[in-house]
Amino acid sequence: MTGAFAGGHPMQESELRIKLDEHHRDAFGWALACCEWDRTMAEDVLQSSYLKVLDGRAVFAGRSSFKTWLFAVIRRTTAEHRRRQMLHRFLPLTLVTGRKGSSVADAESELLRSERSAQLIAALKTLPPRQRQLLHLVFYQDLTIRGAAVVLGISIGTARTHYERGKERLRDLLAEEYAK
Amino acid sequence: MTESPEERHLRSLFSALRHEVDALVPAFEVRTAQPVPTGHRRLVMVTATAAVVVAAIMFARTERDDNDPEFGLDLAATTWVAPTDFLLATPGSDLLRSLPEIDIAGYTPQSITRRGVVDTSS
Repeated sequence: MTGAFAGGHPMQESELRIKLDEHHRDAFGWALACCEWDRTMAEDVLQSSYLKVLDGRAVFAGRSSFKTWLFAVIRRTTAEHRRRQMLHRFLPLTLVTGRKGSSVADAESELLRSERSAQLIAALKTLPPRQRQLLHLVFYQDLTIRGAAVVLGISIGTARTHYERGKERLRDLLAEEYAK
Repeated sequence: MTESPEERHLRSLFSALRHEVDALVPAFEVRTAQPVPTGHRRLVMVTATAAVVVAAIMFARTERDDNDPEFGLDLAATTWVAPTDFLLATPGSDLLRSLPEIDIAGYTPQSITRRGVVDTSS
């Protein structure tokens, strides 16, 4: 089974698995950020993303780095997951599908973290999604603003604006948190 | 590009967070049984069944019974007369729909002049 291209030739499943394993740690952190630190949802999204890559529904065309492309797949999968959750919220489908929507609060309590990290996550959650994701990609994943723009599917100018506004807002929010 | 003190501070905060999250990363595995489509498939089946039921109800409501006198008319055997048809029956209208009969058995073409008067003198 093939699902991506590297150097003009399709990558085999074994190669893809090695690549995914290589980026698994980063991918988990990114999935958590996309899912607002809901660990259960992040793991589901990650599984769905990996399956997309392995069964060829998501194809790496080599236009960016593998990591950047994988992050974009995870972002889109999160959006699909959220749409399904919205459907579950408005329709009583729990009995039909046999699945319950994961609780953010429950999943969050599983994350052991220091007070500073808790404050950082609380502050990040109040930011608009684009700003939050951009700051995560730059400061957590060490991507450039250009790389983050590719992951988010936005122009570099827009990414810079989100970066500056997000940074400013986060600084204010953390100052408030520290003052408490 | 050099980072501002603010950016360095943020990077250190994110770095600490990353350090904590790294300790929670689950082992890499790809489950072949995808959790989402299972429910998704059921959802699709239920939606399809509901659509079939709704379509059947709609069809039953709109289906016409041929034995019903209201709908069982033989259109080929019926005629329809417009309520305003009597306005077309003007006096003498039958003259416009029929040709007059003229008996010209005893006349030859030469016996009829240009003016249409029959010349019987010759």
